[in-house]
Amino acid sequence: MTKLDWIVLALTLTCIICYGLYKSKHSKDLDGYFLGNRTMPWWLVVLSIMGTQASAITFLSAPGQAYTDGMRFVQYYFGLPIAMVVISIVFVPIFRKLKVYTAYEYLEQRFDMKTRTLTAFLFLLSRGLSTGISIYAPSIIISSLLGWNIYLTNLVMGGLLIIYTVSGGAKAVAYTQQLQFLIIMAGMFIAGYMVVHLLPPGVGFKEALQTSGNLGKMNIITSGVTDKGFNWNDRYNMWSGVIGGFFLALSYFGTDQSQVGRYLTAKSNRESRLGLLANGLIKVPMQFGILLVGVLVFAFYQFRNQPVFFNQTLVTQAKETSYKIPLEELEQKFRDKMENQQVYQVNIVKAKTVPGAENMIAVYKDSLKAGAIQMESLRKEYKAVLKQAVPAGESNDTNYIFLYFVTQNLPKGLVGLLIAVIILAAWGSIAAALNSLASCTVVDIHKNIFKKDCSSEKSYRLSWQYTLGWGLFSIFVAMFATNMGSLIEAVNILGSLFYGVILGVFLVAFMWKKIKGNAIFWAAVVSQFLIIGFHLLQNSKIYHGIKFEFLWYNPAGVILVFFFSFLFTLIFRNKTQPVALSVK
Amino acid sequence: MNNSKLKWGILYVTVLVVLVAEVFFFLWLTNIFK
Repeated sequence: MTKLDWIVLALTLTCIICYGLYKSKHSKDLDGYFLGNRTMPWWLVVLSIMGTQASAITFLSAPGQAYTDGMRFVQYYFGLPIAMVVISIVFVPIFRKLKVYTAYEYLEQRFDMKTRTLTAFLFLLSRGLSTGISIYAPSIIISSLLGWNIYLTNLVMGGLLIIYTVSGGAKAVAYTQQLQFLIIMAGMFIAGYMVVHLLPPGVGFKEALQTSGNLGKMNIITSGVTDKGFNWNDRYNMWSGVIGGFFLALSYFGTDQSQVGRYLTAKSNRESRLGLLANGLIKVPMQFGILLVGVLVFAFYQFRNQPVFFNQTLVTQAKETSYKIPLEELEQKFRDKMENQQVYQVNIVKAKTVPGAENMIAVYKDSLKAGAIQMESLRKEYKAVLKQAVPAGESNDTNYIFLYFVTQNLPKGLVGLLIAVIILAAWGSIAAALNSLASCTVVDIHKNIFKKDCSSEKSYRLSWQYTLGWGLFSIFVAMFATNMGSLIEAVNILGSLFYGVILGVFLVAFMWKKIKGNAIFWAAVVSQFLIIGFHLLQNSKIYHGIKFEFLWYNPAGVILVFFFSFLFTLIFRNKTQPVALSVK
Repeated sequence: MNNSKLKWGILYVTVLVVLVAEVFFFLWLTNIFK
């Protein structure tokens, strides 16, 4: 980064944080935002919903995801618009009619205290863990720019975040989140434009897509069907996206307090619904656009020299050891291979303009694919040497790809601005998450367990203590995030372990009036253990059965909760015979 | 049918139709850039 970038970075961070803190200290409407005084118009609701979901991980990790795995990740969002329609029809009227403050409050009204506490606990656990992963995202940026050790960076970032949140950061976010979201989208658009602009002469947008497509990166729609039938272990395909993605989105937007809190602040049912539906319309094209930037970056590196490994801090560290020579030898082999690949890519672009050159193009494509396999094996070899040189280093560089591209290729000043906004997005979403974790702990857990009505001063002190506690927990989790691979996948896998069960509890509450507190509580406990147990089992060496990818955990959780709540209703009825139950 | 319900119904169907259109567009792109 140049001096100008550092100045832009520091100025942007200072100005936006000071503006947010100033506004949050001088506005009478402030509490209304968090207490849900229901005044927001639909267009602010949609920006809030999108800003809450799109943290730094989205912008840092999604382009890298497309770079390594292609466009197929977009299918994961196919269930989201359907979920928005269902939430608008079913969830919104119920939550608003009952005027609940947290989504879990409804469960106490419908079932009992223990079900509310259990569901709130599951939310806290999953959100606490994913907040830890979120802290790791801005740490990657800082450690890459300053060459700091990632663990030290986690500690510094986490510490600063706790101070920021406690001193009003979460409130400040309320005033800056929408603006930040718009700036970051503009930043991504500029980044996409710049990639195309930096491509060699004769290679435009269409040719860039073709270049990526030649190596299978334009795999937007995949069926998941192989010669042996449907592959349940295929991570992203049309069906896991529509079905698994639907249940995941239904749970995230319908039961996760960080989202429910957003659309309940709308001024009417109509505004909440319009906000959700607009989110359903915008989300798929937006994610498509972000992933497309990753594919364009991939095309860019087909014509320019790409590093073997994008985490340059780790490479520098490794080269300070005795492994410097083997690493440089592998780099040379990789460069040679890449030069061949570049020739094939240029030849394909040229051959496309020649009529009747299909056979020649097919030959070039085969050579290209064979070359890509060889490059991949060189990359694996390089990673193995890196691992030997720095055993604690992360062997996955997906999260570093976009950052590397931005810092190396974008114009001076723009780099600083983009990084500032990504860091702000991270800080905003983490501060808001720590705040919602603390308030949910106080409202749904602490006050219920200790059965005390706290004074506002005591509540404030409690919130402060819980924010600190969750902050420390998140830093602890961040320390283990180093080998999780693509962060956008890691948070979704983590969420899927809990979301199906939480959603199952809510759906039973809405749809199955005969199910009571005891049955649903034990159904949720058993289902949760089964989902986590199965996840651990299928990732162990002793499991040889059919494997299921994480998106399928979401419908599985719902089905398990329905099944066990029915079963336990029968068992408890036979034991206690409180009332004659008939199950539909 | 109530006018408001009809409007909401049209809106819900629009969201789903747009999704289907996007899927077909993506399918087309996938085939073009194979």
